[in-house]
Amino acid sequence: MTDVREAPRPAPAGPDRAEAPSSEVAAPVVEGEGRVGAYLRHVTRRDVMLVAGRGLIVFGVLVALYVVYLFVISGLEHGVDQRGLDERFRTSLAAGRAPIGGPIQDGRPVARLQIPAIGVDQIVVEGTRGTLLKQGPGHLRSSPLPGQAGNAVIMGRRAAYGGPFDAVGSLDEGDVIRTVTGQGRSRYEVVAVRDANKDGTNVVSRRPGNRLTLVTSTPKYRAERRLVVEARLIGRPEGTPPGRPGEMTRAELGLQSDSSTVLPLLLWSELLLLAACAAVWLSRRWGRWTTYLVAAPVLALLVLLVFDSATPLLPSTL
Amino acid sequence: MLVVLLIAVILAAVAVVPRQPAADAAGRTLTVAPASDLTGQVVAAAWSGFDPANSVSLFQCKGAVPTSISACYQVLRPPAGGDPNGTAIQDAVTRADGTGVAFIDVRPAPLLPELGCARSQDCSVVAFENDGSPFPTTGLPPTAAVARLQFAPGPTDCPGVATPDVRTEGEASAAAAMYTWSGRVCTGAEPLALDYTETSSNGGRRSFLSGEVDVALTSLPPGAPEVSSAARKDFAYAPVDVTAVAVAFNLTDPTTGQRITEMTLSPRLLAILIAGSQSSGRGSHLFDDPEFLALNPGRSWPLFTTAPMLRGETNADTWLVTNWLQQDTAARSFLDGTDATCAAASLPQIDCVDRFWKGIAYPTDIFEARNESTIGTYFPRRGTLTNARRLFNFQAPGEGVPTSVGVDGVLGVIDVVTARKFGLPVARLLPANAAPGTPAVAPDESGMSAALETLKTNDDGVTQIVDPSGAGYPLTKIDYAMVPTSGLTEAKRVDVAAFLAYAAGEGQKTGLLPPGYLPLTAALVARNAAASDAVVAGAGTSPSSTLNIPTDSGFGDFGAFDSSFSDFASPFSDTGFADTSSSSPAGVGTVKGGSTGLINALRDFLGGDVGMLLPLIVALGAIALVAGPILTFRAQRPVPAGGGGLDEDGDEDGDGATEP
Repeated sequence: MTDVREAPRPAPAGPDRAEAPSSEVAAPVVEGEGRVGAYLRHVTRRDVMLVAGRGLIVFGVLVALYVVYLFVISGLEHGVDQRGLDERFRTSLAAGRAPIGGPIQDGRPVARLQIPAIGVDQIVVEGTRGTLLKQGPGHLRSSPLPGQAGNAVIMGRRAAYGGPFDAVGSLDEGDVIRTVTGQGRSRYEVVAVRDANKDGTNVVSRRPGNRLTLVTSTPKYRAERRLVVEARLIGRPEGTPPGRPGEMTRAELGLQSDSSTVLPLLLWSELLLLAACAAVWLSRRWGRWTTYLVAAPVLALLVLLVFDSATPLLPSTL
Repeated sequence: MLVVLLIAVILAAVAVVPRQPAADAAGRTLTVAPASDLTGQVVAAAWSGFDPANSVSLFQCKGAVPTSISACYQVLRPPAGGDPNGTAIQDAVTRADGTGVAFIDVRPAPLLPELGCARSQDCSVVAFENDGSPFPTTGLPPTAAVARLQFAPGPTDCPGVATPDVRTEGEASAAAAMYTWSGRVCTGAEPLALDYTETSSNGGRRSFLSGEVDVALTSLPPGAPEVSSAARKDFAYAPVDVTAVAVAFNLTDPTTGQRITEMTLSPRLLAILIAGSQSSGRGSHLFDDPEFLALNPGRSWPLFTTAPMLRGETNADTWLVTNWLQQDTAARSFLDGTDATCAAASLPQIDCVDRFWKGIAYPTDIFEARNESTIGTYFPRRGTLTNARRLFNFQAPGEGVPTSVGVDGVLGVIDVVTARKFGLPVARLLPANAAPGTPAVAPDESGMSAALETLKTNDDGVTQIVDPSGAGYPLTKIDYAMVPTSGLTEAKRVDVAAFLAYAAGEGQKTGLLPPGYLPLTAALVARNAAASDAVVAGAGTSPSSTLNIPTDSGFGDFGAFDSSFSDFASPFSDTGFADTSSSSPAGVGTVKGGSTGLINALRDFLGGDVGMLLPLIVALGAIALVAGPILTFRAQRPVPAGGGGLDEDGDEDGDGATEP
């Protein structure tokens, strides 16, 4: 506590604490009394307020940074991921190895999704957990692939990580959605745009015919309900190989947390705290600017990792 | 990129275009009957043009024309210790004219996932000669003939869903109807994802009363202890089908070598089969009994019966059978050891009623292995399917007990629907306390219709069972859907009502009601409609039961069939004979062990609604950004001499300073 109190002070640039301007802090250490004891003796209400205030500032700045991360920087991450996925998907199409059914590994690119009306051109990955939706729209594991018979369900984020499905709410009846999978091209026509309730079954189960269902969340930054776009397949469906998994977890139905990153989040947060303490300690030995130079990249990286593992805890289609 | 896509499309097109069956050069043909709308059942496979010198193997295979023998399910006769997921015949005989016929048990995807046969996945039966040549690495053996199998729409043809709209569990005699129906209702204008887990009436009631499933299928109402500890208190009963419990058999006439298809049994005769002393005792000499011979004149019978094939888990069929025995004076006196025929017996058997089964109170809902010394032979097994398959395969219930055609007869208690699926003949039965000369009744349409005239209402005042001493087939029964009448969301109420309406309406039509069922009578349809109204009217909501999306039991959950648990009824547990609690094998969620309490707590919190999480964090951040600078500013403000705004602070400070 005492460390924190001193470190950010602008004036004392170094270990020479005796020259600190505040009289309380500069109270001389009495011989025979422990250093810590002496500090504690001199901790005042003023100090507590100072520490709390600065803590709040740090927290506020972190939250502000997080918002920037979520809506700006994560979009860049998403862009990079999409580029890699695009490459992988093209390669697997060329090799005739794009997955067309059965159990598919989570995160594998399974389809290209194009919605010309709103400028969407995304590679769809297998799986709809929050961690997977960071890369792009995700295909619900229990549903058939786009182009196949049945109701193919694709979920995507509304705002974070590029918000690929941000504009799907503005689609109109008759707008065209195109998909490409290992089985070929398919065309869908939008039938309806609905603001569905939260009950997962309404979105994924009761859909007759050969359809494509795009799922994201609404309102944009709160993700309380599902926004659903239903589209009808034009033409004949492709064959549907059996073996799709029939079981879903809650985390895969949109709107839900993907709690698989709770542990990494805790660990990265602990590491960040340790690094921050180490930086404070360093600043007292090396001086301020040297510490900034050394600690800033480390702290920035850790902050990014914390943010990255915290995001899946938000609704997966946010 | 265009070229790549073109290649992909062409490849896909090649893959989906079906190939035509190749004409067989040697003129070998194979036909199966029936060949379409199959469920899990037995089909007759007839071949011609085969070499009589070689025996014939038959397999069920994937694809209308299997690409190689490795696409076939090649488990031969059931191995010791379990029932296999598939059957095949290896030793069928071709007659001198090159023709032959064999009965093969073909299975759809829920019963044989390895092949995945369904309406959308054609399968076939392949027959070939065992001519000693090895299987070719690609393609079928040169002597193979193929017959296509087309299965009825089933649950596997439905689109996958995260959570079924209506989850049901229970009575195995309703299984055939439930699978047929669920394969139909999942498509169409108002699709309904209907999930059914085959267990028993008792298992279904248990899951229903604890709230694990939406609907239980049961032939009998729950007992008072079941209801008193139930989580669900409000429910109604809707009849969904009428069928019957049957005594099925697999016997060959030792004189003619023909399969026996007719038999008449009285309650006393079934009591002898169940409780007569086993292993060469009276129980296995059923066919020598004077009453049996009087009821079944004019044919020769095998020497022995094996121990009866009975279901070893708590179930309604057993209750109905033992209730029939209990009502009959002659059967009861046999069970109590006071049988007149037995007392005057000149037969070589020592005991009449086995001492381990003597004086047991009936009705009961479980058959038990009571005598430790006959454990290898008298062996109740779990599940209707397990028992039916062993009957079909001419196997004794005990493991490794040899059976020989014409010497032994295998009899068992299963339901009529299952018996029909496996092509097993069933016995005509006499009502309890029948006057001499009363005709025995078969579990056919007229026998079951007549029985429905004698319905008696149970103690609960709602459900009905057939009077086992009335005219008509005495073991006729009604399978009820037990449906909740409170605590459902509106969506769930609509779905449950839709299921009931389909079951009582469309589902009773020819083609949608598998063989072995009697269509519901008008009175039963009216009861169904009344229950449906009660469901729809049921007020009250319990959000937890509908918003909860389970992580374990999906639509394709058929774990309860027989692969997931042993089909042996645990005969001798530590607590003594007959551990009656049959475990509920499906639908019970297991919570995966988490790492620490904190993480679990966090996960629990995050398992809820997280839509407000981001706005909450942002709001907290904004408050912090305002409060932080204010606090900092106030703390750094120079302290006025007299204390001013921070006078307490000053006091403390002063105290602290003066003390040393």
